[in-house]
Amino acid sequence: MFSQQIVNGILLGSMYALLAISYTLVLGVLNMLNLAQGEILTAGALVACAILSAGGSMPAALFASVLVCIALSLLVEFFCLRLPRGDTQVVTTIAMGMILQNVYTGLWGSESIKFRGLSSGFAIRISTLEFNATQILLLAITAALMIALSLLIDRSRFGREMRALSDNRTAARVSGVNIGRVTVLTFALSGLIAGISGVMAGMVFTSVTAFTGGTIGDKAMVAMVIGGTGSAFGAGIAGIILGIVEILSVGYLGAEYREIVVFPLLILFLWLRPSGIFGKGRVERA
Amino acid sequence: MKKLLSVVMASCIALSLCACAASPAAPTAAPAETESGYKLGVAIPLSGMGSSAAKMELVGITMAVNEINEAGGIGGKKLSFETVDTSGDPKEASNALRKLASENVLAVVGPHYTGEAEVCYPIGDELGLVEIALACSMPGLSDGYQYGFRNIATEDQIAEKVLKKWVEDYDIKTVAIISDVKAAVAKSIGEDILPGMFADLGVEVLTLQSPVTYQTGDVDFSAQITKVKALEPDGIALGSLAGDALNIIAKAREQGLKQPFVGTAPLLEGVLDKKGGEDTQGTYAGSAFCLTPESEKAQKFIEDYRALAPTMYAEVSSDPLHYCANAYDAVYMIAEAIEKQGVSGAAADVKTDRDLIRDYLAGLKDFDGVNSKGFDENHSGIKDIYVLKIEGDQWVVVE
Repeated sequence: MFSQQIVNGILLGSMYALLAISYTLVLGVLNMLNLAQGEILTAGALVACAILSAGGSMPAALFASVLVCIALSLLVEFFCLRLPRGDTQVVTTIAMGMILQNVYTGLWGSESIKFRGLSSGFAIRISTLEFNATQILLLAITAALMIALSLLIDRSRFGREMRALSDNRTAARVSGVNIGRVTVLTFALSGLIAGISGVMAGMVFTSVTAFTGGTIGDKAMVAMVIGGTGSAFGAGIAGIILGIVEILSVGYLGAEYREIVVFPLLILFLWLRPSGIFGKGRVERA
Repeated sequence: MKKLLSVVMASCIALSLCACAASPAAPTAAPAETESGYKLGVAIPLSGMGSSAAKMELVGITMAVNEINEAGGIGGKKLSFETVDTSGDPKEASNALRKLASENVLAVVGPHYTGEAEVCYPIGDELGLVEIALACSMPGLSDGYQYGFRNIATEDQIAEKVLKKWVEDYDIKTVAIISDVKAAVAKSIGEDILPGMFADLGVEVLTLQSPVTYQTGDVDFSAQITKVKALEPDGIALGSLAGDALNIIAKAREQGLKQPFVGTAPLLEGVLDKKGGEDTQGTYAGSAFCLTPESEKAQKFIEDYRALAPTMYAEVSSDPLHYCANAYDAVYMIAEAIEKQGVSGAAADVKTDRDLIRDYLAGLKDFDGVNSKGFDENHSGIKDIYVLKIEGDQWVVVE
């Protein structure tokens, strides 16, 4: 049972990792905190679910989910981060998250909606462990995104512009970085990841509700902090560690102890290594 | 100009989003206030996790108030109601109760959840205001309160009948219990009611030493199902709400578990029958309401609900659940109390009127409702219990 629980943890952690990567793009790179990201994922999951329920294909559902999430992500960027004056991002994105959640319950109700996943019987067996097609896809997508985004941030011109913006906004502008373009593209990218994550969440959890993204979002935020803000690789690894810790605490201690184990882990990391596992160590102690 | 345009655009989008969220919640009937009528309060979670059930309750309340007014009101006076959203949050529910009390309502239909009622019952006693809760089925909840009522059968009454039938039908010798540790009623079912009742039936509970638990709204149940799978029980019992139950059963089927599931009334709150597909076939639960009743009154209620509900809320189930019937009957019980006790409805008499309603309800044992007969000595609903099983896409009566 222990090895199966480890596998369960890796799979759950992969979900946290996907969302944590989209969080870390916006916070770590643009220094902006988008707390509506979980609700954006929910939109993707619900839209995909509706298309699949109406008989649509999985590629169509994925395309629609990504499109909706990019649109919402850009909406958040404009109305919650660019438009308001002063440091109000946290409050405005929380408000946007609440509005979105109410829209979802108005349109889809508050009950669980069954998500029609992949019907393939394909599976890989290793001893007593079995990975089905959905689980293999989730692991592959998480790994691919971790590597691709790490390369994008560290090696590409766009990544250099993102990092320049994160380090010093004024200096980046003077150096010719188009701040507006980089910001919009980063939000679009985080929307794209949320769209993919939404479909994966539906497939992995087998159902979605208006609250799915909010539940995953809290843990993804913890994973991002533990991994080190701005590091896609760190967010991914931390998400998987968090998933394993959570599954083992639920499996062997009970669900009532889950938060007692997970959140002290966050505090411990913040105390021992405030910049996270793969952070750049820019945090200064008072 | 650019800033002005941005602000206008922001306002338009915010308003359209809010309108989109709010429009389905607007009841289509009954004015909030009347000059010389009787006013009730309604405190239910129209937003948040319980909103689907609460919207059904509001359909039931609207149906009852419309019917009463179309038949000439109570002694010629119209009945109206004012609704306050509790969001399923005990703090919001207590605020809603105080707000309604200050609006001089005669009695309150609601709250919905056990957690809300735990906070609201003491406040109702303090204010001298009757509340008829609708989905609070935890045993002992209303014991000892003067003004706190609940028009629902308790979970132990339901579980007693359901478990006996389920154990017989599936020849269950061993069982694993999966229990919510957050929602008060689900926790009470999973931790207090099910283990004792299975013991009485001679069924071994395999999860007694190492309980399998989760928290309301969890999205991943793989750890719990892996643990249950290793125990190899004959059946699986749920102390859970319907939304979580759907996810648990789906995850169990995905991991290859074929055992039958059983739960009590909360399983009926959602759409386990409509959305569970093959996964939930054969699942047992219990309720004080069914869709194939013998009484003409209940048949008419179902017919009228199916006509009205889609015009109020497109997203709620087209078939009523027991919550809707509980709410419908609660309005009629209060209306009967107003009529029989000669309640004046005047603002100056509100305290006396509230007490008259309380006194009548406390002695009500022979009410002729859709699924209600009145209240027992602990102010819990007196109901007939049906054992239900999912067949196809609906709950059917098996006993």
